[in-house]
Amino acid sequence: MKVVMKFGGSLLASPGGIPRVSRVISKASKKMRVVVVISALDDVTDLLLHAATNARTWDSTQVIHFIDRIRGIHSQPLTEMELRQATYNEAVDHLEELLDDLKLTLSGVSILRELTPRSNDLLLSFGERLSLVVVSAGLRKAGIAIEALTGGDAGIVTDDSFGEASLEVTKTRRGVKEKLLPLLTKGVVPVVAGFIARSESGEMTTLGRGGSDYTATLLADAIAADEVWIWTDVDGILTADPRIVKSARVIEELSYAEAEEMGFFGAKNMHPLALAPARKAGIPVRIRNGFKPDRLGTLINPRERKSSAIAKSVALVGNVGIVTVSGETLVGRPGTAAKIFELLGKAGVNVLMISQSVSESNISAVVRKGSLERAASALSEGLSRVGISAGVKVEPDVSVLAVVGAGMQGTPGIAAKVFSAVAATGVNVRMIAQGSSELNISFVVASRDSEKAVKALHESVVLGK
Amino acid sequence: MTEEVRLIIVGFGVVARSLAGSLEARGEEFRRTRGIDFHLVAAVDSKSAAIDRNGLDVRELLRRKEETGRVGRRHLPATEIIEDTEADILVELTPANPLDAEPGMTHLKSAIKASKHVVTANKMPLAHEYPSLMASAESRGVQVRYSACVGAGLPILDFGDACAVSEPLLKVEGVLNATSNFVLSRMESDSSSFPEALEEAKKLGYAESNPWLDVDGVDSAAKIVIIANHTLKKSLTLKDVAIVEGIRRISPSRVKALREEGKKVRMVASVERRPEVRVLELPGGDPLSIDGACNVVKFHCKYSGERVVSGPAAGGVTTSSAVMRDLLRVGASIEGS
Repeated sequence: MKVVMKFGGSLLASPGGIPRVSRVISKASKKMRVVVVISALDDVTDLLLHAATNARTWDSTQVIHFIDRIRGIHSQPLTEMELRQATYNEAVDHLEELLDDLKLTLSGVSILRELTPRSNDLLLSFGERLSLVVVSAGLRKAGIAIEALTGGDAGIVTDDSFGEASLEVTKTRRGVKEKLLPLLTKGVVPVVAGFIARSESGEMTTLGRGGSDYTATLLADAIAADEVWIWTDVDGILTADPRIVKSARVIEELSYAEAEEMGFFGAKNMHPLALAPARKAGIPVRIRNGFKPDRLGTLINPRERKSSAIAKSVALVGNVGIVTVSGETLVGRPGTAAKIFELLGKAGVNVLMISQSVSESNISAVVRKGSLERAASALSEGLSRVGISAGVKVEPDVSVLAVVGAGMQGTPGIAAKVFSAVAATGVNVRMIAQGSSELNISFVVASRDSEKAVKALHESVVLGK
Repeated sequence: MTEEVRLIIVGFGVVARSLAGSLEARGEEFRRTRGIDFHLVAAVDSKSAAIDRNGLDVRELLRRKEETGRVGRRHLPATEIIEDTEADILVELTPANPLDAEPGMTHLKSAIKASKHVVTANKMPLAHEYPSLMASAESRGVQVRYSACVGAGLPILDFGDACAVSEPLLKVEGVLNATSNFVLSRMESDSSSFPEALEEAKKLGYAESNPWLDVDGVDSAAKIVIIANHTLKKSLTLKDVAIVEGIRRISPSRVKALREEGKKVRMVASVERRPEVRVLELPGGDPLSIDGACNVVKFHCKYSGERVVSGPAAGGVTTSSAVMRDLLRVGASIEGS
């Protein structure tokens, strides 16, 4: 059996995190062939993003101070692991070499006062590369035969559109196979820095929002792995946010489609992009808790198994608002909805949900609260410019509830059941939408009612009480 | 005729305690020989403050700090004390913060605004805003003295002033960070690696637990700004310094190879047009290739050539001697007024 295991940053950076991860890998590598993918240590990606935004205005001192913060995050676990002196020295040398490169990159940005997409990719790549140094040292100490590889070393090839590089699928499949399979045959565990790749011209590129999870699934696809295990610091994908719903529990099994719906609605799990290679190759993905390695977690696989319950989860997306365009001039005027989408798109506003009344006299869109004002002004200015006189209204304090599950597919009366569960709590539903896949029903309620509604829905449609 | 000179000390670490001890031990001497009667009217640390218009009991203050880690019982904001307490001189001794120079910066500005003289060993406010701080001090008619910011007790700025009396200075360069120089010397003398030598420096109290300010060149950069502004009459800030390289990446093998050629590697800060900090390979006979926890500065004078000042430059006691030097100078000027 071949398994690609990805370890998340919060797990790696937790106290005793790397020894814990080493035990998991050591145990697994005795029974199966393992490929390890690692993320950047906890906050490092955020720090690098912060640097990417700010380094233009930094002076030497600020660059040096930033480097020292990054050094601290990585040297602490190195010190705590009590490595042999030679291993420690080697790791520190390697770390300092990378920090030197990082300093050069940031100094370049601060001198030129400009961050090109290419330097941005290079900058962001340091998180996983630094993590690789620290994690590799820990795995070697645990007696695991490893080979440390960046994404490029492992054979992952992209085009060179920096910032949004696309995978060269065929070349990557071939490259990864050529690099990793011989290692696995020799009983060596390849340890691959996630998120990063290399362009054909040899430049550092990044894999975008799919991140390290994407690295794991695309490696799995290339080596025809049996499973992908995503090790994180939670028990798996849950039926609801446990901070709101006490009876929330782990979902044992999900289909790719269900997982993607949940990912889209911001549940703490995989980005839909990251799931795609596994889905296409039909490779099951497990979300597991590194703190409790005896638990099985959540299995995401091709089967759409309907459970007795109607839905598998209820997600709550807070911090959203509704912007509504209304007026008689909208009635019977083709292309208005398209115009609205276009205006919002140009203003960089992402639309989560949309609904239009049958009378066509109003159209509402749900957007993130942070972009609500931008959405409203883009619409009122943009529509009047093309001669559509319409009122634009915003409602800031609303939340989206998303009920997800294959059990809703082709089952009549589901919407009614979901509604009556909400109605029984006396909560007023402001908007509703069901995806054409019938895998989810989403609706909008006032934020003050949202937790009550989540609890009620979880009881009735997830637990089936 | 003795003149009463009232002091506020803000920041109560090693330098402040050493200074307070000297004020106590040598108070009588200063009254007799200089006619200056120092009164410590307020002491502030990060957690507390002690105030007494008639002068604090310094022995009691030091004992309390030793026992409780605090100078006083109550927490009071330093800026309020600086603005509201009747005093002549603010002695600013808070730790160097290279990022925004706080809280020292606010303390200095408050003192200047309240028409108090300033004596400081905290180099960062000056490194960040030397030109504007000195301009506002001048407009308020107060003195800002800072010889302890450079060279600990080694009178580098005075030496530079003396060089500049009769001719222009063209260039200044020097080894300004004693900790880094100790580390490099140690790497040379017993072939230790950078981390080993740094560990040694920490044990001996030369290096902080997080030494980035020293070994990455920021401390040297701040000092060259102050030296350049003071002796070359420039208007520089820390932002103007190119910190090219610190000493972290110097390997034992490089040190060894240089030794065989009779050379040494040193972190040198310099200013001619642009200020910079970089690692240089120097011939053994170069005055800048000094050993140990020392500083050395070379002033390039237009007619008389190179003038060099050097010596040990680390530790709270030597630094407090420079603060004392500044206090006596300000005190003498108050007496005359």
